[in-house]
Amino acid sequence: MAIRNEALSCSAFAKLKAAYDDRKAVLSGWKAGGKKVVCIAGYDVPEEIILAADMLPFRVTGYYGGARKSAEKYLEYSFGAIWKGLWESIAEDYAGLMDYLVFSSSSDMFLKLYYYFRTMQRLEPERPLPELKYLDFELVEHVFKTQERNERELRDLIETVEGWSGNRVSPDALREAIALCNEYRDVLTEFSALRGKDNCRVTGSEALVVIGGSMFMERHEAIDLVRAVTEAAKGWKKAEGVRVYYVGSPQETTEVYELAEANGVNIVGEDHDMGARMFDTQVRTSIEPVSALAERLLNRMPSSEKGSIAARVKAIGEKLEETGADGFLTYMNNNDEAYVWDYPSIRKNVLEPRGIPSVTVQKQTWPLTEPETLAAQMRELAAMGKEAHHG
Amino acid sequence: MAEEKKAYETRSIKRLEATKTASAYQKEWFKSLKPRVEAGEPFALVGADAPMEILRAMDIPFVVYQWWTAICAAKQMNTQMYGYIRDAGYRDDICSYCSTAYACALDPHPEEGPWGGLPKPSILITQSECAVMGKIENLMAEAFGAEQYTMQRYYEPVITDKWWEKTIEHWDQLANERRRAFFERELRDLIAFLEQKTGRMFDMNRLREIMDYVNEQDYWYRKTRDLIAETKPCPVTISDTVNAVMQAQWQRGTKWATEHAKSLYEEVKFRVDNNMPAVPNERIRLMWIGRGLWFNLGFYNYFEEKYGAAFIWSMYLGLAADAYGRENYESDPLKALGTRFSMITDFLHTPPFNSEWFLKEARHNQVDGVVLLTSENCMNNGDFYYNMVKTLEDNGFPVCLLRADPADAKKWNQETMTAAVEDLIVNRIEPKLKK
Ligand code: SF4
Repeated sequence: MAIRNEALSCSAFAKLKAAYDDRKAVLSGWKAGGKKVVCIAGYDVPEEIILAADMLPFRVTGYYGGARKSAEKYLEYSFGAIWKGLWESIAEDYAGLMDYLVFSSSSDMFLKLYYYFRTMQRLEPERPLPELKYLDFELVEHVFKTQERNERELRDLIETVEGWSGNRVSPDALREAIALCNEYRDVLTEFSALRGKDNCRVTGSEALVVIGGSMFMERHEAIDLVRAVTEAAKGWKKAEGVRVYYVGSPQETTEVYELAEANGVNIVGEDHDMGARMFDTQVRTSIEPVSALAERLLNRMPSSEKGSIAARVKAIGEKLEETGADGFLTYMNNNDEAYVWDYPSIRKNVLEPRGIPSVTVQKQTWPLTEPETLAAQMRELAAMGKEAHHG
Repeated sequence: MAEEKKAYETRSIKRLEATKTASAYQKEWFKSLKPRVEAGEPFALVGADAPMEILRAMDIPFVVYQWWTAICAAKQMNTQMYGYIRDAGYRDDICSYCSTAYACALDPHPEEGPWGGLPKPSILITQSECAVMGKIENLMAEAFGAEQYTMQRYYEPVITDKWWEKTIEHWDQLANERRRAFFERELRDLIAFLEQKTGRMFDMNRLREIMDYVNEQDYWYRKTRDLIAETKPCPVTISDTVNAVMQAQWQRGTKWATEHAKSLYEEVKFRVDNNMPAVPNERIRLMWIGRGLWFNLGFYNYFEEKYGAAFIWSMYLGLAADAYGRENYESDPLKALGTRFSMITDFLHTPPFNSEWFLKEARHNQVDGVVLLTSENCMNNGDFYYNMVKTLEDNGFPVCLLRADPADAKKWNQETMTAAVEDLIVNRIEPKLKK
């Protein structure tokens, strides 16, 4: 099982897939169309602010498929696959297409890349790099001073994008953008219900395409297409495979999910931002908009990299209930292994009491160098999950 | 053959009294710590970037857990320690530098650790320099039953070029008002937490005293660093200085540490005045960038003997000289302290501030080449080495990159590492010297 024909023959799905598969074409098209684009590297940059300035947010991703000559030259081995890919996209593949790039503190590696590119601007001034901005949010400590700090960072971003766009970000424009993005997150939530336990109509890889593809298009179009796919998918055949919840390195292509599906595992939820975590929390509309955006940052599911172990244990327990998963997969790229320190606590406090089997996959590279080993691990997880489900 | 065997000697030659007295003092201090902790006094385990001066001002004893790693490594105990981590279901091949104290918490016989073992901390204070560290700290706190207090970080990158010219006299120019205010608030919050937790009141005048001691201590470190930098052949090597400085930095802000720093200077000066080079056949001066090779400080001896190549620079003395002192703090000690504890990471790990400083130090110390140790199993390891190497090499300092685990002796490959440094000496430095 992978992306099924009924999905591929759905025109809304096909449009989302086209954007998902060729992100650079989207960026080039926007640029050629004279749109002002703000590129984003980080999972916590609020698109609402960019939209309110009448600019387009474009997520820069890391699974750049070609040779990573530039990343190999400039980056240390401690940068895992996704970070090397991100470097390659920014330094080479999207060179000249990006005018502005905003990083956020969603991962320590975004900070490093920000500093590295800032230094590259000095080292190689002829290189066409965008204007850079770093948003230093605190994302772990839930206290008032964090809220204040994050609001301050957001107000800085507003000032910056006002300068870039020449447009004032008025409270009304911000409210309008928040409403639009809430609607976008709503339609993705409705779509994701089709990954649910009793009515699972989409596979993990199909979900990645819909969620990911929708990121690379204008919000109104994305909303319409996700709605259309949701309607269509209600009539698709039930998705097979042992229901597994995924934590770990973000998956920016469908390869790993498809490999899982081919070996009896269907990923029905994930904690990364190319999947369900991206839209898991709404922005409150009844309060001042900047406060509301800052509040969302702290209300999101604690990320696998940054969240404290206690917060992760709690959140994973909730997600397993929500998704009705029968298996648990921890997937780590080489040198992207913060999650390894969560796992024993999750196993003890969440998985064992529920009898949920798990597999931990480590030291992965991109492209996959040992797909056979990975396939065997997926089969093992599928077998254990089946047994747990029936037993 | 006898000469070859020396390559496997892991203990360094201790030339200095200051090194011996620092170790002896630390041992005694540790001994006196245990009964205090057992009697119910608060005891803090802290990250290397925690503001230790605040704890000192409140008379709360502390151990820096990364330094504890160094002590365990020097005693060749780490490999055994990481076994406890593996047995608990974690990986023993990553993050060794930051996980030793956690391993100690899992040790069934903690009293067999260095100096009678790490007492059980009641408080864990950190800044979580990286996300993984935050998680290991969660585990440590739980295992020790300690209360964890994490200070927020803030990276607004506004420090200027040539930061080392600003740190001491013009620290207010290192960061903008927002960042200075941010860290001042972090310090005030920490003080409030500690007061509540320990029932002890913070005393600003005591902090002033400590700041004065630190300034004096670092004045002696500057003089020592300058003396080493300017003296050829070098009076001491890093085998002498790293322990002497690291252990005294642990006691930073005390009368003892200040006097120790002065005695270190005097001893080095005595060696200079009496023409007592550390490596009498010194032909080559090398810089060691990166964490100390604690389990194998004898590594450097081989190159001294065989090539007359002396490792004369490490960050421990260099940073103590350039990064810690803060004069003119009187009106605002917390703001001044804030610019210290929050910015060491910037100075050391953030490009281009790190590379510019290393270049300045390479020039000042008249080195011929650089060995750069990158910590193999640290995911946070990345200081933009490309930029560091380029900056140094473009200015005539060839660089050899070593990739190793500085904490776990079992992964160290003496042959490979020796060969890499020999390659730097024989193929890149010596031909240049012959010209
Ligand atoms: S990644 Fe590096 S800095 Fe972070 S906890 Fe591990 S060893 Fe320490």
